[in-house]
Amino acid sequence: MDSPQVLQYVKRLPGVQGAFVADSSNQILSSDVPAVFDLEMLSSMAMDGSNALETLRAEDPEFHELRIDFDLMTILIRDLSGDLLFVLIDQKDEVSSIRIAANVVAKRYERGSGNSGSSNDPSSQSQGGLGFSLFGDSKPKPEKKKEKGSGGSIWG
Amino acid sequence: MSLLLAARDFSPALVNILSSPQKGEFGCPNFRVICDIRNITVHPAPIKLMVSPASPQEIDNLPGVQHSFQADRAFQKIYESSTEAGALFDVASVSLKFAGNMASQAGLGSLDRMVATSPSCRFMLFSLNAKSAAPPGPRVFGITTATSVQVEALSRTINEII
Repeated sequence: MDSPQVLQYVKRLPGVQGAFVADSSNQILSSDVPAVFDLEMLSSMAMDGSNALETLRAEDPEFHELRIDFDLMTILIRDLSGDLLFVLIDQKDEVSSIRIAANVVAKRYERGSGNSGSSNDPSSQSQGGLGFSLFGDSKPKPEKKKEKGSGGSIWG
Repeated sequence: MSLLLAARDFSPALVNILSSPQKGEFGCPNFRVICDIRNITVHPAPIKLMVSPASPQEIDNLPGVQHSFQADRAFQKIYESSTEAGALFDVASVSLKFAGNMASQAGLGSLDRMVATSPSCRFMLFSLNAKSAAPPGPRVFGITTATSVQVEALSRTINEII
């Protein structure tokens, strides 16, 4: 299973508003998200989500999944053999079944060649491979190293 | 700090102590006065806790709970059950900042809770307010549990405890 197939599988589930896959350098490999999420925002989310999970892994390297409940949406981040699957969920009562589905695709992704696109070689990226990407043939932008501010109150 | 200042601030109790020929100790939320007829010292309290931890022993004894910490709304630690819990607090504070960045940049609203899962345990981070709302205000709970524990059920249980 490759990253577009992962999105195809996940996007069918009730409660899923969108999903995308990012590699270890936060490049977006595939995406199927509402138009309000542009590529720059996805890259930024990938970087912050990856950092949030990696930070927790400093304490337990076996953390493979991070669920973050926001006021407006739940984001499920699932490790895919070094890449990361981000699932945007707008129905919190569906999270349990989506987690199970994410475990299934993670195993299939590991068995398949899905993580072959995790290198920095753009030619190996599968963006838009099955027509699920909103970004067509556009190349993903290089990761922007932004200096993050305090981000305001964490707990709103 | 002069005795006069201390006596002014804590006069009723302190005068009682000073009038006694024996050693005494008087505590209040901000200061501790150790009084000896020959040596009077006033020490700032080491930690000013505006919010006290909520039923930490009861929470640690819940089924499936391994470690726990509590923090106030500003994420200042007010309780840790173990050194492992303290280490988790340290990484959780950094992880929260990244999640907060994500919320602010993508317009996802306020951050309600985080749950990280490994094959052997689950780490939950959420904020709860006691039934009688502020003061002392909400507390942030960081809890590692067995993977069988569900965050919704645990947060409901803790809400009943506090």
